[in-house]
Amino acid sequence: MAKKYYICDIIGDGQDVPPTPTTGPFRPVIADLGVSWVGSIPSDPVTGHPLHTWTLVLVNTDNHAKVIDAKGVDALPDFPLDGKVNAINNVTKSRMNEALVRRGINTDFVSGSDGYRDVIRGIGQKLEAAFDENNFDVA
Amino acid sequence: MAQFASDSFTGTTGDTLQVYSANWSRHPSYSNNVLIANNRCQLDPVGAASSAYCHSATPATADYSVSIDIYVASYTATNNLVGVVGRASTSVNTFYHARHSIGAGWQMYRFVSGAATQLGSAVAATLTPGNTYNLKLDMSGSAIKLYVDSVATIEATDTGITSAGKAGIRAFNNAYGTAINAEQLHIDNFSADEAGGGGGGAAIPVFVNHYRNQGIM
Repeated sequence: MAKKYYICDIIGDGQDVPPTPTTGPFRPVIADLGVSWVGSIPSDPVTGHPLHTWTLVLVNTDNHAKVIDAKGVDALPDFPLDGKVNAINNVTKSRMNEALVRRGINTDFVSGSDGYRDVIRGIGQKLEAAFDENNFDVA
Repeated sequence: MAQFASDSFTGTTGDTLQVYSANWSRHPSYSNNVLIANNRCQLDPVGAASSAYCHSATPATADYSVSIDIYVASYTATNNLVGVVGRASTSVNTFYHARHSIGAGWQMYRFVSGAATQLGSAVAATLTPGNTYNLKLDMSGSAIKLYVDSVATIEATDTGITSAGKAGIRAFNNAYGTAINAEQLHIDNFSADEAGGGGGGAAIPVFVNHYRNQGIM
């Protein structure tokens, strides 16, 4: 089993019904792939609908290929959290930035980050200000 | 540590929960009843329905656990589910919800105004008729966990509901069976406990997907 961060779309319509690609509880796309994951979907306190169209997830599986191939899912660099951002392959870094931009996320924080941990924290904090990568784990 | 609500549902089969005990109120978002059945309780099995009830006891803080025993009378109707709710609003359809659903396994959700959001991986599992399983929803700050027989099976971090609210139960089924029946999933031994309490499982090391790893699913 190996852990890997992803950004993925949120699917569902909030109904408590057996999920289809468009109905069922709000959930990240990877929730339907049969893998272990952790992620947070902040919602509007009145309507219960997600505040964002995407979320950050950490997936633990021995088959990341099927996650990577899933529609609406973008793999983040498979890189140590304590590694330096400037050590990430430029092509990989560009793909990450493209995935962020595609979801309307300003990437200024990426270029201003020293370590990859800062990038993951920065993405998480776009969802919830209290996001802490140290408490974001899946067994 | 202290238990602040409990119920063994020892009563007259066929009585609604609100007739059986003034401690129970049907949530205003639901119109179907839960019935006493063989000294346990179950959703009124006539017709497709869902229901939720809140216990009258008020937790001292938002950090507490809610547990039930699930008795498996039979295990055939897909989507028949039973579970517990915590931090439940008594006016709108808002709560944390841990449950077992036939066909889908163990699941944990956040409901806000009726909109459901999945919390963490669902864990597929098939229960054995005649057996009893303890289900516990544990809420401590933003740490929301589902325990099965004292094993942490799903965990999530969520800040969507912070008020203490109430503890309770929730159930759903497709149409099946007779009104006084011995079918599907029944609820027994409700317990609500302040943080760190018992009620069906102490806080032990987390083994998420224990059942998957054990080959049970």
